[in-house]
Amino acid sequence: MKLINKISRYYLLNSTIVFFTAFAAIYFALNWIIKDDVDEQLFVNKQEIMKKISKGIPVDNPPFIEVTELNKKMSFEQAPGDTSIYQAEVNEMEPFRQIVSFYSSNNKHYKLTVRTSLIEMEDLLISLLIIFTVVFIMFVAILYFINRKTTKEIFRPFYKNLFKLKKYSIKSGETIELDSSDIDEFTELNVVLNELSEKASKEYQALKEFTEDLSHELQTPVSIIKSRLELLLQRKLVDEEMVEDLRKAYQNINKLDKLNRSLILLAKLESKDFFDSTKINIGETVKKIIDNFADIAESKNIAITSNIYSVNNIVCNVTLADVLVSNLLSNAIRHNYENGKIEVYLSESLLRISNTGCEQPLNEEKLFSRFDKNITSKESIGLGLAIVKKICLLYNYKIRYSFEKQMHIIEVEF
Amino acid sequence: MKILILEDEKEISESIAAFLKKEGYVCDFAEKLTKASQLVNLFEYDCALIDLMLPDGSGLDLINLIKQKQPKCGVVVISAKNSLDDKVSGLNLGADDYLTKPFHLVELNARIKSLLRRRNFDGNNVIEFEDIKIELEKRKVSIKNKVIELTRREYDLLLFFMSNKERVLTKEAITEHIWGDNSNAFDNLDFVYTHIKNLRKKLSESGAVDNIQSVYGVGYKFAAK
Repeated sequence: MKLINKISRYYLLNSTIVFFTAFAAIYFALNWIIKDDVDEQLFVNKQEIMKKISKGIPVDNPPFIEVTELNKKMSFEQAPGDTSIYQAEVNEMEPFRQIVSFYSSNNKHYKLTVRTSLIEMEDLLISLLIIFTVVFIMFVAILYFINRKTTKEIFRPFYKNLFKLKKYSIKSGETIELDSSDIDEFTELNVVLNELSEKASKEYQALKEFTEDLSHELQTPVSIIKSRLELLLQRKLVDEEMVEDLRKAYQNINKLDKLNRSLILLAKLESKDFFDSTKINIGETVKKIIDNFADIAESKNIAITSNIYSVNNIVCNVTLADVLVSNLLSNAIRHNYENGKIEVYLSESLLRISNTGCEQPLNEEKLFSRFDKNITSKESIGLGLAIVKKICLLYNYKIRYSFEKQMHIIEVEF
Repeated sequence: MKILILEDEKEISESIAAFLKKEGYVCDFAEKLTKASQLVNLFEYDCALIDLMLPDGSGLDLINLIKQKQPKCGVVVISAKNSLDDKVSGLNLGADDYLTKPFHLVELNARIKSLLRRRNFDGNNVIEFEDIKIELEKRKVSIKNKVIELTRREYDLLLFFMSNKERVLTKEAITEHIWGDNSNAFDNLDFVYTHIKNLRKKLSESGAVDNIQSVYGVGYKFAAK
């Protein structure tokens, strides 16, 4: 939920609670005040009626005044109370306030009931409450909009900065330029964010440099080990165990060499180093690489069918285009089974390589990450697709993976 | 044949020299650009192996000097800097070939030989061993003067073998030579075997001695029996 909506929601909820409480309080208070007034009036009326009775003036005026003669004297007085009386004129029960008292005069005993209609009072009460409600709602509504506007205004730098943060990439090596605000909390947040981004950026750069340096530093010792082992292999070796040890060492130094080369290329791609790009005929590249790998595929009895329609040139570095297509195709061969299939399709702007392989679809996100254990078969070093992805990123090509009809499909849109 | 090796890592130049000496080459070393320049001014070389990243400058400068002083000398750039731009600028400056470290010594050997052949035998470029004769320009192989048909792979293999006689060629070196750098995605190199089997069959069917020996677990060797 957006902050502004959350604030509005709290505001409205609290206003509603306040409204109902105030409404109830006002209702009871008014009710009490009015009834008190009415009661006072009833007492005054009663006194006057009593005077009239003693003078013998007829006073009966139902339902407002009722006088009943009694046989014996009664002398208790009821507190004023509410009652309802049927009114024939309107065919309804209507509320009244009444006091009942007993009165004796000239040896006659009377029960005296004096009433006042409460209809007017109720009308008044309702009118007052309606006015109160309308005023309150208008008040809340106006405050609601003022609140929203101020909140928006106050949070404007916050949202602006949020947008900048979203776009910020630690890889850029730049610091974030955040909008200043006169609110202390936001200023503090900016300071903290700036420090954080600077620190993260520095550490990222350091780590990146370390990886690059490490790969470069490794090249020389790897070179030396490799050439020394090759010299050793040229000797007449009689000890079979020694040959085996040597073979293992040689195989693995080659693996290390490949790995290191891939890491150097990845680091180069990641640092967005300048690559000389020229117009290249991608169709020719694809044909050349299929041709080069055809016998390797054949050794696994994999059939490669290709439909190449592109006559289009794309702008790319020659070596990187080669690496892109080779990695995709070698991947399709490596993760295939004997007697499998590979289909290569190239149109104006789309390269699609589909291959048979394991029967489950692969996790797309993991597929393009480094060293994914799921797809890392014994013979793969797990960097091929990571490199492909990075090349696509460099040239803004779109890359997709899908699994259809038991085929793993990787599409590159140039 | 005299070869100049300009390489700041002594260990590497030593192993290169150890390998090349057996081919009958005389090797001179330089660890710095200044020393290499002096050597180029003093002696004639058939081939120079040049590392680009040097403590006192770029090897590209030496290529320039060699092209002025000794235009006949072949130049192979060997660079650890896996930089595509270096490759282009090196070749533009007149380098004849480019190898990225670490490389297979047999690959370097084949490259040097091919370079020297191109430079020294204009037009009439032939390699012979016993009954086998390869005419490089025509990509033609004949045995006892009878032409045999080889596939592209078989031809490349045979040439690689004959450039590295008496040498053990590992499957890794063969794969990288024949299928190129991008083939290193494959760890299972059994497909090499098929081509070698076919090549041996064709050679022996044509009456040549089967000089290709398999070196158990490691690779193959082309040697006189």
